[in-house]
Amino acid sequence: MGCGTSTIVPANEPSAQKTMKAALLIQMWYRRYLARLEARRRYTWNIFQSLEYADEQDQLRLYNFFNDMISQLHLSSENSDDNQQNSLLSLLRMPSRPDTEMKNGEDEDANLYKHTDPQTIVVPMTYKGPRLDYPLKLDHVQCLIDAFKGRQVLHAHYLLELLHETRRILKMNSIISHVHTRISQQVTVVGDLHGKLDDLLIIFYKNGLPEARNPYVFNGDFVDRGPNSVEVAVLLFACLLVNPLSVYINRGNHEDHVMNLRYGFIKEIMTKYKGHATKLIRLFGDVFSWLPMATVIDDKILVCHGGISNRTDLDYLKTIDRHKYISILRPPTSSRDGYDSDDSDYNDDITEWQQVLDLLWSDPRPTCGCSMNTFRGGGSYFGPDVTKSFLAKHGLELLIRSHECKPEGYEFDHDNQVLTVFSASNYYEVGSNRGAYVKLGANLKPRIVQYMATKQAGRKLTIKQRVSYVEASALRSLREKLYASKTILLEEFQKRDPDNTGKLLS
Amino acid sequence: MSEKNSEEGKENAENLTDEIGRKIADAFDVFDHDSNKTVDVREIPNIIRSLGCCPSEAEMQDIILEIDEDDSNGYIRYEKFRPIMTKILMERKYRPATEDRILKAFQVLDTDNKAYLTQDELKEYMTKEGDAFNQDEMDEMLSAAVDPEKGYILYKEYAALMTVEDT
Repeated sequence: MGCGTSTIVPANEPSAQKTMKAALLIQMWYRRYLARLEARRRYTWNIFQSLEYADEQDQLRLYNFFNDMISQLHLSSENSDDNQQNSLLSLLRMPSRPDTEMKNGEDEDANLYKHTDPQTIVVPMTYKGPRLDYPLKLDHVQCLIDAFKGRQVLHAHYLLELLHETRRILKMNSIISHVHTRISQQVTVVGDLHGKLDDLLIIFYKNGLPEARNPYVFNGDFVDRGPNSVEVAVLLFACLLVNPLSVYINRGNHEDHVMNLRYGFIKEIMTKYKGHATKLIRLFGDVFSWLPMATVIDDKILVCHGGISNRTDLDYLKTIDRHKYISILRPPTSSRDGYDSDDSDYNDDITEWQQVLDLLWSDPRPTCGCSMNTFRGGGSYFGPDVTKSFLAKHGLELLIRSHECKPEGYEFDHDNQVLTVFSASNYYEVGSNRGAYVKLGANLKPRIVQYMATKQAGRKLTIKQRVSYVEASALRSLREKLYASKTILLEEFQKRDPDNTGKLLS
Repeated sequence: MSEKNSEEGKENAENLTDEIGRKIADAFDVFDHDSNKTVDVREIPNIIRSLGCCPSEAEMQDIILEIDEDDSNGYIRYEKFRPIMTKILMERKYRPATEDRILKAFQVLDTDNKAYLTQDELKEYMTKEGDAFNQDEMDEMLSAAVDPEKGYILYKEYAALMTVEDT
């Protein structure tokens, strides 16, 4: 039957056939070895992904925790003039909507400027880092790149200025951007970068800096997790300022104050900017709330961070005031704002919030229909039927989204109607995945470019070495997680082991 | 299991079926990304091979044809996969070659009896004979098989090394 049973080659067989059989035997044997490695790689992947999403699941619950903390701190700060506490309070208060008395746009702008005025921060003579002046030029971008490669940090004064300029440009745009490739004949879509400067620099190196003939769509999640969120954000914003008509930046679920509190961006700002951190955090949060949430290319391709649901409606989205979502993790509440639960305003708020949440948090699934994204704790799972009818309804051909790390940096789903692109290579661990970006030519056919940023450039690891390395790291993370939850686990085990045998029945 | 089996034999057989069933379920789950008891048909070769089977490419195609359903959309259901895979494992089909047999296969390719193969020789055989390797498979094999000092493949050591790693 199988070739395995055809044992040793009989001596009287012609030599060509002997050679063929020997080669075949080695090939079958080796492919089994590769398959086993692949299985190990998948195990590892599953561990990392479960750990990552278990974290996100807590996010909505975490929001309530912060809200409680804010009200507690608020109470205690009324009886105290402790500066430390007040600055913490102002940090935590970020996610609330602009105060009602601030509804007037000009007042709000003036108030924000008062608290984040770059002129109040003097650049010392000893500062050796990059300096910016406006209007920003391509040379400035190159200068920033060189400085960041040399691990320099942009001074808070220049960073505040850059953020104010960015905010001014973003405010003029709408919630959905439109890109046309008629003149450029191409456009590049970049997925999650998560503070990984190396990956952004590889993309710019391979694909060139953005300019009129080389437009880019950055599809959100450029901050958090990685060590250079500030630098990545600065470069994207600087590119936007130099080429406002060739750079489009979509908001991701991590361009969100509450996510930043937990996933590293705020910690990075506090480490790099110490005394000026409060101002920067406030301004970053405001800039993020002005980012568009989707981009449409040539009326044919929708690019958004997470995806869609069966209620997603682009015409409805156009009516949304995006700026009020400083954090998207805040469900509209009926009690706090004095709504009745059957109040139509409240229901409108919920409908609107869900539209935004779906766009930034959803994941595609192979099964038909739409359901709550329980794994993430926010957004929807959408099936091929949802994609098909959404695209048909809006006269679109393709949905490009990011949001999920993929081993190859990209993945096609839903009969090639959904393309996931993820641009942070080595996301879970060195060697865990490639990064990719998508080039769309004049015919809008997606061409994928893959890469992998490595510190030890030139040193090519075998799959075996990569798998072993990443596997060790996954097990380490898992052990840490187990250790961190040791008390809870032990308690639960003991509940199921009333006789203290030290064993559990399966 | 046949009726001739004694009670004890039957019990052993049941244990064996249980164990095989668990192995199949585990191997399947690793590739079932959406945890809905289906896998992409392109993952099937990996699942079958990770369960320790070494069918040829033609045999692999036959297995896939058997488990692929008309309305599958490129996804294989666990319900369809399990009985066919159980049968393969129970009948001990497509068993992997022993180290000894791999060594003999290398010796057949080593026509000059020099106890090693050059990189070009191995490439020639692996990419032109049998179920030819693609570029990735070839690169991966060479990256680990070539002796870093000598620059060629000492296949006896290589076969032994691979057998150890495999367990």
